[in-house]
Amino acid sequence: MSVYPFANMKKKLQHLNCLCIILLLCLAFSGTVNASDIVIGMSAAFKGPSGGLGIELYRGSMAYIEHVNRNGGINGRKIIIKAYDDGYNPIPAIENTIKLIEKDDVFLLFNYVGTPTVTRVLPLLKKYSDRNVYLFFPFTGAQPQREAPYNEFVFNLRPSYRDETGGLVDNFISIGRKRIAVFYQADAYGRSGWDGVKRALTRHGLKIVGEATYKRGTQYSESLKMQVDILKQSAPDAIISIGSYAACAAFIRDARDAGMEMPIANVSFVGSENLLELLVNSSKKSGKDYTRNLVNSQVVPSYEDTSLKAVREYKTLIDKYNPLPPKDLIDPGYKPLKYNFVSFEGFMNAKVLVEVLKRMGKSSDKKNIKKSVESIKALDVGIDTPVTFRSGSSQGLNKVYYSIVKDGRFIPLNEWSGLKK
Amino acid sequence: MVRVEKMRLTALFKKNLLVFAIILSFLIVSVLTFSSWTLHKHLTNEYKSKGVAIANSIASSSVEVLLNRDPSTVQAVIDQFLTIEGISYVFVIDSEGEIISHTFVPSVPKELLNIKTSSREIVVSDLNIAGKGDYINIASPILGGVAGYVHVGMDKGLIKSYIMSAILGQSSIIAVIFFSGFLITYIFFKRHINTPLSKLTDYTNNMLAHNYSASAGIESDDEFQYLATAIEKIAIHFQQVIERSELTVRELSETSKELNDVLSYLSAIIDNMADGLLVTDTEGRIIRVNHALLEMFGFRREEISHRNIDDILSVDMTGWLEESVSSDKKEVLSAEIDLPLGRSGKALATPIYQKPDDFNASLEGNNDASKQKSDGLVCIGVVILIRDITKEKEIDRMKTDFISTVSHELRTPLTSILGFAKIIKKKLYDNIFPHVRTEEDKTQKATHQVSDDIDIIVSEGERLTALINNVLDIAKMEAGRVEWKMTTLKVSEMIDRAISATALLIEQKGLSLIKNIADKIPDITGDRDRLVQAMINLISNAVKFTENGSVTCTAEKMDDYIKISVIDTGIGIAKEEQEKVFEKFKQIGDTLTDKPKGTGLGLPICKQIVDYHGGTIWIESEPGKGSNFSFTIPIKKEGLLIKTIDTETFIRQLKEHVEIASSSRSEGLKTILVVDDDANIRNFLRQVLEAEGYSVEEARNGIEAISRVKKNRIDLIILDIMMPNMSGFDVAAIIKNDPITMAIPIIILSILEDRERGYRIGIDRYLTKPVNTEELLRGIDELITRGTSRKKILVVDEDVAVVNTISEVLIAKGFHVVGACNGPECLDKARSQRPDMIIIDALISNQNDIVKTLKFEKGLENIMFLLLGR
Repeated sequence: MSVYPFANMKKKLQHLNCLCIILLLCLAFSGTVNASDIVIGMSAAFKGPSGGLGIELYRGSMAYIEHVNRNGGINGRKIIIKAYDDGYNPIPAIENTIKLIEKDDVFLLFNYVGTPTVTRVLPLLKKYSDRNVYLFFPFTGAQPQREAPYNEFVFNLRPSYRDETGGLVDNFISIGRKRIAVFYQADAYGRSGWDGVKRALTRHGLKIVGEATYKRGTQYSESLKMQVDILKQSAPDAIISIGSYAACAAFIRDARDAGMEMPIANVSFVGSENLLELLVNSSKKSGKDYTRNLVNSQVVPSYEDTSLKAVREYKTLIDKYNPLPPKDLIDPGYKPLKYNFVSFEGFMNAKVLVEVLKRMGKSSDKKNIKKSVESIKALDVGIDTPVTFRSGSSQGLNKVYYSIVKDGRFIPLNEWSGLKK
Repeated sequence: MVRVEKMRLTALFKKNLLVFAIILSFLIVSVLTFSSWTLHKHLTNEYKSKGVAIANSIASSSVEVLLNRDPSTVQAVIDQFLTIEGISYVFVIDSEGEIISHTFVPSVPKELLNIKTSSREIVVSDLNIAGKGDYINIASPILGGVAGYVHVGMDKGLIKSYIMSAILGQSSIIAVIFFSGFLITYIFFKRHINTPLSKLTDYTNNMLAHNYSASAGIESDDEFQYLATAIEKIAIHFQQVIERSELTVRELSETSKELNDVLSYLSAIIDNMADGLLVTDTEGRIIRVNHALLEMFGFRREEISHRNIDDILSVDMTGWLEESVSSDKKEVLSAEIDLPLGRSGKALATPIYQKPDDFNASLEGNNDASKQKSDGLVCIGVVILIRDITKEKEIDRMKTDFISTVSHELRTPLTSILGFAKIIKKKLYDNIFPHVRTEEDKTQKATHQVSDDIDIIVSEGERLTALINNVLDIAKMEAGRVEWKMTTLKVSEMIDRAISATALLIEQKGLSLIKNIADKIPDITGDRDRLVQAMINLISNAVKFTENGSVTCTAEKMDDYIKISVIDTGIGIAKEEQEKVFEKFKQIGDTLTDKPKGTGLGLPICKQIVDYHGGTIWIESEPGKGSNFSFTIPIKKEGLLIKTIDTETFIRQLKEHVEIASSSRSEGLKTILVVDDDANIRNFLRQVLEAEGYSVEEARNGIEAISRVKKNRIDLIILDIMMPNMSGFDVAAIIKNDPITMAIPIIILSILEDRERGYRIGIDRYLTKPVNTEELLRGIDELITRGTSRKKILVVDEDVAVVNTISEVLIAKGFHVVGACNGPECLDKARSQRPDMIIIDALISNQNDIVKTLKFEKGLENIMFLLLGR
């Protein structure tokens, strides 16, 4: 609501003085950068097929940041997220990053979404290493930012795709599903997941039985029958899908339509609730249940697990603030999801970031950021796993969670035997 | 007009445009082909080098990431290159030959899964991926192939689409250029060609409308202006020519007016001529007639024009016309023609000659060279003048009739006078003079005187008879009433007869006669008696004027005629008199002082006879040395005899045969009936006939004669024609039609000569007064001794009309006639009817061998055949 006071009040006030006062108020209220504020930059997909990821991630983060800001901020300084849309494309992501660094002079970069985007931004961070630009908690499990030379500039909270895919492969093999095929996005993200599956299978002395790619930006309305046919030929026991929710949902729909009933697993990046919403809607239309045997790996615990303090806090703050990204960063037709894994991850990201910022004290020197991060050891953030940042291994969390759809909702998957072949 | 011009320009423009378009199309196709080929070559090279560069760049940059073992970084790198135009795919193979990164959606094509690369160099190859298209595959080794290979695929389809779009672009540009070129050309044409052309056309149209004063108004300083100037010059020239020709036309019209006037005069003269005038062209077509001619023939003008002259005139002019047209003879043809309503006309035909002018000559060409005479004249037609001479002829006829009537009327008393004079003379010499005593001087003197006087009476009577006969002869010849008996005759025989007839005269004068007749003189056709008469005339004429010396008769064959001459050694005739000798009653010498020795009609009769035979007669003479009278008779072509045979001759020949063949004598005194209204004649004939031992009965008229014939037995009748109440012909007809009396022979003795009518009635002899006693007695003797049996004749001819005609004549003659139309019928009838004579068409006879067949049949061998030729 704070975004539209100008438009609402303009009509009521006629006097020039009043207008001036309102303008000043507006400037102050809309959080326009103050010298004292901590401005953090965000480039993510707010629009397009993966737009849900950026929005939900932003919403989760903003719920907590709003809470922090309202409760005195970080040493009196407000945290402001400067967000740009890159549409999940590398070039806009690079341009946004340059803009954020050069023009907006952000304190740090935060909540980037996507492997192809982040992978391409990494060299920029190295370029701006003299400015101590750090990227916090990108929403990707890809390997490059976890490895040299870029692990120096990037701090990851979530586990890697290798962790996720490795866990999925291990679990499938454990229930006898050894013929594993991969459906992946034809880019660095997909390649990253593909590599993870490959490595995990190699460990078991197996190989990928079939693989098919799709083009980034594929809409749900498009047909992925070709990919389904390719994978069907290899008769897989399970399919691991590394993609965005629109394409993955379309693939699941087409695969189920083609009579493929094996479990299909997605990684965290997919945006589980977005995926589910599309499939549920399709199920309602066709009367066919597209959500069966649908496994998703998660990097955060289920937001349904209210035994966790962070989950309770998350739900409370989301309900309280229900934040939305600026209107120019959101497609008009997008309906925000109430709770979801992505916004919960954003919430967790913000919580750890606030801890980092707090630990910096009153210092606003970017040089101290790394030190502050690496000072976090076994930090309880209200989930079942503590957060620890070690030097050289810039990843805060390592545990992978699994969920399965039941009654149109994701529930934690703890027992795999139900998916036995 | 302008519209037409535009259309013409469009046609012109279309033609040019077509050529233009063809050339341009060829150009465009060539340019496009060449440019697309060049483009293809360049693009392919470009793509290759581009692909090589990219592959190399990936290969070199991949070393690190590959060694780092993170395919997602590799993927990020290769994804960047995918955005470069022309690159279809990139994939990286690691050292184990496994694809660790690729950009294919949905999967790596099979063609690339098995690709094996082991070269250390960059390999460029062409590749076809089923369902996707053609690619240039560039394989670049990473670290010399140790770390793997980078493959870059360049899309050939893109090259094609580039070329297509380039061609499209070029075509569009060319099209734009073409259409602007067309537009500019069109505007140029319109301004610089169409407008001047229209102006020129308007100008030439003005010229057509005889407006030469206008100006073309083109000042473009190009060929159009030159052309316009040339046309303007032509126009001026035309104007001058036309002005000159208008002047000529004016002059011509004046001349033609004069000509018209002359023509009007001439037309008036021609139309008002009393004589008929007729003009034909060289082929005999009538092209002009005058009013008098139309009246003469009773034609309307439109009926006669363009008809042939032969349709109008009874004279055949074709031959003469052709001759006039082709030869040099400027001969005038004169002929008598028949006019309608029994009138006669005299036609005078004159060829019209014209000096041909060069114009006509050149027009008519060489074809008419034959018509051109040596003096350069060309016959262009004939003008025929026809005069109605009916009246003249009538007068002439009346004159002749008068003469003949007078002569006839003279003959009757003369017959008596001469006859009785001769009887008196005979009686004087036989009965009186022997008893007269001669001692007595006075008596003796008187006796001598009587004797001399009676001699003079007889000789003058005979001369008078001869004179009358000659006058009659010439009158008849002139009136065309002579019956010519044309037969084939020998010239020598004819001359011999004439010589023997005149032998006494020659002998008396003591002259010698020399006959000089050439050998092998062909026979001629002619009237024997008349020709002999002519010869006698000539010989006696020669004797008459020759005191001593000789008379020579010669005959020789010339080209196509026989020339007969009588040459004497007499007094000769002066040149100026020569022409007159053939005129009537023109004797040479003074008729007052000289004693006439002849009738003065001998030579005119000769001329008439010779003329009739188609010959000519002339005289060559020198006074004191003698004269040479010559005449010619044309030699007739063979085969003409039968054609010219006349009924009379034919019948007489028939009769002679029948008479001879059937002679049967009957004894006893014969009675002759003399029928004449003149008592003197009856008396004279009685004396003559009784002297011959015939019994004579007399009848004064026809009725009396018929009753006598029925009452008494009459053996022969001598019949006069001109009698009151009933003519001799009527009497003869009654007698010949009565079965009882029809066998009685009839001799007509009359001053009227109508032999044909007489013979048709069936009379047996036709003699004329003054009677020749010897001839009469001979005829009586023949007829009386002749049998009376009727003869049967078979007439055979394919043409029924011919059979009928001959039959009619023969039946009229008292013959029994049987007809047949063909050979077999002829044989049948001959056997059944047994005719005395067969008259048969020579052709039928030959075809059926009728003569041979019948001559060998018993009882038919004596049949006489008469073959008719065609």
